[in-house]
Amino acid sequence: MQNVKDVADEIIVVDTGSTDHTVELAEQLGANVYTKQWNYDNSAVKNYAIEKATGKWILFINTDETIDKEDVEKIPDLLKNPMVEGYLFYIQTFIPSLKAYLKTQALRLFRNREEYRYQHKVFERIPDELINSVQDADIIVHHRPNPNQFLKREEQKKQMLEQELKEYPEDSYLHYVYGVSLINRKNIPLSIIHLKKALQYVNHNQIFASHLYKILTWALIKDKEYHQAIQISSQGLHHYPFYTDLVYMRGKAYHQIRAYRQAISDFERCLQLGDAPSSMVSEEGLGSNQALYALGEVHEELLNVEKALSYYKQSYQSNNQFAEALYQIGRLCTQHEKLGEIDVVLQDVLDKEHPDELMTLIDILTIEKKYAKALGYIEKMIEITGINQDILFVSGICHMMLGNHETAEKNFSQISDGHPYSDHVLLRRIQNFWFQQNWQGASILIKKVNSSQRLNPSTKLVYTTLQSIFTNNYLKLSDLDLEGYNTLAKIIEYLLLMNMDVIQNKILDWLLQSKEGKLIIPIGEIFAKQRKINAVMYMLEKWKDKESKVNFIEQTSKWFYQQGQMKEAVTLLQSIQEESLGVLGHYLLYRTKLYLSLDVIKAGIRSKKVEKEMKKQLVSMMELILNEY
Amino acid sequence: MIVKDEEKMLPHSLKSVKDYVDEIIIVDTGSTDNTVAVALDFGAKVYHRKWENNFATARNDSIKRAKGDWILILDADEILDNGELLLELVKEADKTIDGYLLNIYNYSDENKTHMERNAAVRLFRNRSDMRFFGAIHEQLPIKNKRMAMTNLIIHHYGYIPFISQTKSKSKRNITILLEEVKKYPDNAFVYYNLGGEYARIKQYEQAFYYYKEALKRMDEPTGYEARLYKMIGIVGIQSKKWKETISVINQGIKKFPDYPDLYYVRGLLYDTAGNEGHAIADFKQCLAMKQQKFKGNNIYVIEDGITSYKAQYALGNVFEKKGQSQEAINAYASALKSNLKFKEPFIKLKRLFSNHQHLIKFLEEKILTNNENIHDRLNLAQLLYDIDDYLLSLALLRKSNENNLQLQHFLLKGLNYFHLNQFAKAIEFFSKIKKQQEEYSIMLPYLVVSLWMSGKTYQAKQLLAKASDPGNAYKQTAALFLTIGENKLKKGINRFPESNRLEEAYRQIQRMKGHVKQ
Repeated sequence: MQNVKDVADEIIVVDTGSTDHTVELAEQLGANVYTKQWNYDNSAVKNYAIEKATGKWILFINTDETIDKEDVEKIPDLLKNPMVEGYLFYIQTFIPSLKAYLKTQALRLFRNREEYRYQHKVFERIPDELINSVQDADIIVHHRPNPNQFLKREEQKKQMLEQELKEYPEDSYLHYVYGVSLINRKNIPLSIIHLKKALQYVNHNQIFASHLYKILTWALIKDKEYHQAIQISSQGLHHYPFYTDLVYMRGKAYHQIRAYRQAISDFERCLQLGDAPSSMVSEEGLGSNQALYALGEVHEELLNVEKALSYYKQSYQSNNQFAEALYQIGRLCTQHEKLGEIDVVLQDVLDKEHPDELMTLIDILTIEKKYAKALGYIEKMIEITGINQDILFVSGICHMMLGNHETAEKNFSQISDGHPYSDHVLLRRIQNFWFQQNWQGASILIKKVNSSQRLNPSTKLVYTTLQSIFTNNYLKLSDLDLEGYNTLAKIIEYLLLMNMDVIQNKILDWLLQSKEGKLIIPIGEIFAKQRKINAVMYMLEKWKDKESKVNFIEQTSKWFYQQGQMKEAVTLLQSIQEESLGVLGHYLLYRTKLYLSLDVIKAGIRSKKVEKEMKKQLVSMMELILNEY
Repeated sequence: MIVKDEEKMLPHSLKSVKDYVDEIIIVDTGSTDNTVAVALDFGAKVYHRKWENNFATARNDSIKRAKGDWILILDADEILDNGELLLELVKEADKTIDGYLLNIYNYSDENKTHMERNAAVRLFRNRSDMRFFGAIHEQLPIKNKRMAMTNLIIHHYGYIPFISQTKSKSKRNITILLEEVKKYPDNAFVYYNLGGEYARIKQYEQAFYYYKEALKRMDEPTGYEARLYKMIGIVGIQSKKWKETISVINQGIKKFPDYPDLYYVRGLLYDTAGNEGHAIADFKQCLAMKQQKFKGNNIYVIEDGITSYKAQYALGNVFEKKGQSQEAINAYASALKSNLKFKEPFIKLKRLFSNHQHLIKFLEEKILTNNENIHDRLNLAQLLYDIDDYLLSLALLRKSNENNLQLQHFLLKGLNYFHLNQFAKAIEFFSKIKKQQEEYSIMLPYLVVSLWMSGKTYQAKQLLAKASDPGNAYKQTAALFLTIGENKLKKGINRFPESNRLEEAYRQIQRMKGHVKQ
């Protein structure tokens, strides 16, 4: 209420039976409070509130919603427009279970007329056929449902909604809302069914119709139904040709099925369009930095690495809040050495004299495991800003990974408990003890982990289980969530870099339970660099995620190839149908043959059985190939 | 023989005659490669002569130097098929005979599937009245002479596109012929040849023009008149002058009603012009005719298959266009059955059968009717292999009688498995071919690569070292790896044409191959 009360002539609160201090609080803030019994009918309550209002306009807001001050200030001007009957606000809901925002649109400001009354018990709304001339207000309502109550409410909503759907089985909006709520509950397959139903009965003038296409496309992509996603988004674009978000999503679906030409053309179209018009639910940057980034990803997969690099750079330059692009450049440079060293490549977009940007560079170098180089820049950083706790932390990590465990511990222990990263410092210290096989030292810290308020349960589970494995107390390897597996994957990478075993003690098996193959791919790279083909084959045997398997094979084979281990590279490439290989796979198929061809020629040159004249021919053949090679 | 820069072809050509002739006379017109050395190796007498844009004078110069009673004319891109027969002919020649007509088989593609036959006087008495005239396509004066037809065959590879192109023969010929036209504006034969050269480099408008000019100047019966009509038909299709061409062909058919090629060409013309009914009638007419070489004074230049598989295939195409799939299938099947090396009808059949099993059943029942004939089965399997349909090829080979399998069988099976990346299987079949057998040297690189790809590098290297010609074995194996790499790359580019990296790599391997060839 605090923010809106400046523009409201009166505030009407309808209480449906609070037992706490709600009523008093509302009255203190100057609201007119009415009481009405709750009959599981949202429309009845809202209409009741409208009846009580005396002003010319109605603004609706719920208790778990806020509107920014700047947005509230826009309202008086909106009311002056005689042509408009109502305004749409964006509702940006934070979904705790997904840690993500969901943006929808709703009518929240409208003229106080008798015919404008809510209908439906749940997901109440004033039907479009009753109100004309509705415009977009470009105002965001921040909706932060109480995480403790969120799921309970969702469950309640669900039940009520199911009732409604029985009554109105052909109501597009109900199916739409139900579909969205199913997405919040992570039931993607069922949400697709309802969203499709919604589409079946939709009237394209309805305000949610464009968003319906977007969310259905999104759900189909999540469900790996790329061809359907393309079909639905194309259908949507027929009605809303300027809806950038939909073009972007279709581009993503095309990318997934490796229809690169179409993907490129969609992302380029996004850039032409710019972000979607404000009358549609849209995400920022899809018409600029996000589309540029997506183009970078497509070209990276096509091995057009210079192009990819240039797109990532443009992406960052078009929005310098978008650091993902920089991290991606770091990764790209590690994967393709010919692009040059990370710090050199980032020179023209990052200002090394600027402490924030320098810190970003150091962070990227650390993530890419260029610890020595990172330490160099850390010294430079100290020259500029002096020593601080952030620096201690990152330099501790670098020292740890370089094997200077004592220096690392010295750094970590200087960071105070009040530091925002203090939990992460704790985790790093545990790793540091592990790397020194100091299980005793680690065990004290593990206790601290378990009592931490801020660390999430899956992280705690990973650390305690690993500690128990190291100390030979076998604990059940329980299933983790995505974040848990992510944490585990990173630790395994570090353990391998420190030459510690992860196979005998089943730690790798634990990670391989994950269906998210992407997390595991970097581990293949480390094994390849350590020339452990058996370990790689072992991973392949247990691989679950079909989609990322090709990727894993291609990437790992590449590292074997780069070290001249053709036998291993070839074995890996042969472990999958050639048709399913992508650009990298086909390129490697070619390069390995080229290498083997050279190998044969060299053997011929060395052989005593080959005559002089023929040897000459072989030598010149070798020179020609090497010349191009 | 007149030569210039023929070091590649020449050994094959000389090898085919050296045991059957008393002397080999070669006139070299300025080779810059090893041609002369190769010729001397074969014991030829080599003379040098400046090239004066005239084949007739060059030939006559070479004949002048010959000491024997009989002259055999051969080119560097030609191979004599049966030297023994040559000896017999010369020995038993009737005194009244002045010369012999030899069959010339002209191949226009590397797989030797498209072939045209004609006959020419290539063996004749060494007499002063037997001298050539005509700058290109030089002729002997055969009026009032007695020439006899023989079964002797010369295989001519000069018009395989790759070979002609590298020598840019057509361009050279056109320059010469245009000079000739100025000198002899009424000589139909010069115009005829000019048309042929333009047709070869696909300039059909010019070809059409010169052929028609040749027809205008046709004042007496000649051996090539019937073929001239046919060629007008062929370039007429390409230059889209259907109506005009059909009326010329009608004229030709009136004159040479027993020349099947003309009906065939007219059928093609009707087909492209959209008159399917007439097209079908013409192709059926071809099928009812017999190939014949002579009619009175006319020597017909005969294209292989006109009265059988080519007409059947053309018929299939018309039926398919009309939507009569069953008739089309039957026609394609007849075409395939008449020539098991003919790929096109099979490709069409495969498209008409969506189901793999049905297609196999059809092939077994309609094409390979004689189960005992392993040769047919092998040919068809070879065809399938050639068009990269390895699974189908294997399916056919699997049904062959295990007891009398031939080496080619093993080779083909191995190759099919090789291309399917099933190296263990490939090794199994390749290993059945023994070192002393002819197929061994063809197979060896494939076996080595298979071993290499399945990790048996040591064994692979052993095999190479033990080969009878190790140098070549190493070279061919290396080349095979390059070819495989290139094929993989091609597949990648087809699927992902947006990748600059793949394209770059493709250009790279093209450059390498270019160098390696040189």
